[in-house]
Amino acid sequence: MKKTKQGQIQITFHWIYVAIAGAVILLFFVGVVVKQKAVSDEQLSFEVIQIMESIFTAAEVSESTKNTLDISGLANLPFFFSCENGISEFGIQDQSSRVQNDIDPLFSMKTIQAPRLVLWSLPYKLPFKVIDFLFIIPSNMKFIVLGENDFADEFIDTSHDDNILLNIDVTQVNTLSDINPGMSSHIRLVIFDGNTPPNIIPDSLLFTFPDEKVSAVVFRGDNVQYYQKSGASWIADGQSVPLIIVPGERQAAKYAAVFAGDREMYLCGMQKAFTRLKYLSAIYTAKIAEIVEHYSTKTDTICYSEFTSIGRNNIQEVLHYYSIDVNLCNEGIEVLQPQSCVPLMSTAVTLMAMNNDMQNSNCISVY
Amino acid sequence: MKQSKRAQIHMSETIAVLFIFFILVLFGSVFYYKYSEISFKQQQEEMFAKRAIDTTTKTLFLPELLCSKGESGAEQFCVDMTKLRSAETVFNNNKGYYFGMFSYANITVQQIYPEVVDGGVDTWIVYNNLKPDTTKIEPTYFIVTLKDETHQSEGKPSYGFGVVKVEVYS
Repeated sequence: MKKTKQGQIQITFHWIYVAIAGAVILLFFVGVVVKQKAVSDEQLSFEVIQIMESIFTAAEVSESTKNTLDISGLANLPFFFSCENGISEFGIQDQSSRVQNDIDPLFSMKTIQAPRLVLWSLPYKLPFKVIDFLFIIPSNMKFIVLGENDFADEFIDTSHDDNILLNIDVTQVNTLSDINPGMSSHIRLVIFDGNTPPNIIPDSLLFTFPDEKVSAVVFRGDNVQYYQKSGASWIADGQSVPLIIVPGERQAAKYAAVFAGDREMYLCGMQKAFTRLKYLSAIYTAKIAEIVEHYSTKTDTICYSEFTSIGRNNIQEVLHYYSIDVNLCNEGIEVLQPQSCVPLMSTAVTLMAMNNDMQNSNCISVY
Repeated sequence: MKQSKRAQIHMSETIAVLFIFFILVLFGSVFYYKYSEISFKQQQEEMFAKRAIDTTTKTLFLPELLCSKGESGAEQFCVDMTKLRSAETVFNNNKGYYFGMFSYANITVQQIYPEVVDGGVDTWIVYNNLKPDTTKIEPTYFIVTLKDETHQSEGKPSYGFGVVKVEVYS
């Protein structure tokens, strides 16, 4: 009887031991699986971000093109885009993998969750090509144009594409009550007339949208002002920003203003462009020195007498003042004072005019 | 005595089971480590190849080198020689900025036609940043037009062709 009891205890202990060992082993494998899942998620987000970076690079250098990027497989993942102090960053929200870039200007909303992206590249010229701007536009975003001017017409025209995959959802309305957000997840008002925030109140349809999903960009002359919806009213996003542009079609800085998530992102992208401009103006200074040297042996030509001889309205002098303005602009924009870039516009226009004259006179032109 | 022997057998069984279990865990860990190592190396290779493609793409569309024609778009795959001759100095003076674009790489443009007479320069270094402990070099070659407006014939710029060589260091 005693022996049987001992046996029973032994068997009970044996099974407790087996249960504990089994639980430990099971726990170990559960831990491995959980860890592996986290690693896999991180790995996936890393690969996705790396691939997207390559696609963005290729899309950006393909000047004046629109591309579509199907991300329907990642439609449940929100992407974030930010840009501060000349360094932009993008990645998948709540994942540690992200890509930083201090060279290429990307303009997009701050968060994107869409089945498809339209990647649109436009060259920024001042007056020569400085850099390509890349606009990242989610397919579920709606742009509502209020008011009319040449740029509004051009924007509506260029946004529409026969290929539905490259089409950007742009609608022109007369009043805010005409707005039909449909299935859009983001609304951006692009306003050209005097009826601007904060005087206009988002109506009931817009009122239902989360504040961060409704914003407005107002063009006043050569300035742009950003607003963010706040309940039934608007909050101005800092002071207005000057548009640094030269006359011509498809002014990339204006399109960038439309597609940038907010004032900070716009200024940050422009800062990258002006940094690049500093180095490009050094290249053009050297190029002009070579042109001047070339014509110094051809003193009987108009190219020498009109454009390159010292003391006249010569191209070297024009570029010298242009370079000074470029440096001033860079110093200003680094401390978030974009107004310091305004003088650059007039020197850029002078350079543009002189370049056209040189071309018309069959001389070697600057660009 | 009999009971003690049975207990010993029990103990041996338990030790054997534990031993086999740990052997299997060890085997699994070694397998997983090797798999991770290979996967990591493969990923490194892929990233390196991606960087080589990105660097080449960026080089071919550099506004610092591309030919232009006033307000019309840039001439694709064309290098402006008057820009190229000063590019090395500008890129060298601003290495920090261009490192963000090209990282560790060596970018050169070699003139193939017209042939350069003896003593003349036929190769220009655009950017050179050698990685000290480099283990791999991925070279890419691309044929481009070379346009030189300061060497005109009959009032038109002279055109030649050359090779852009982009070497990326790993």
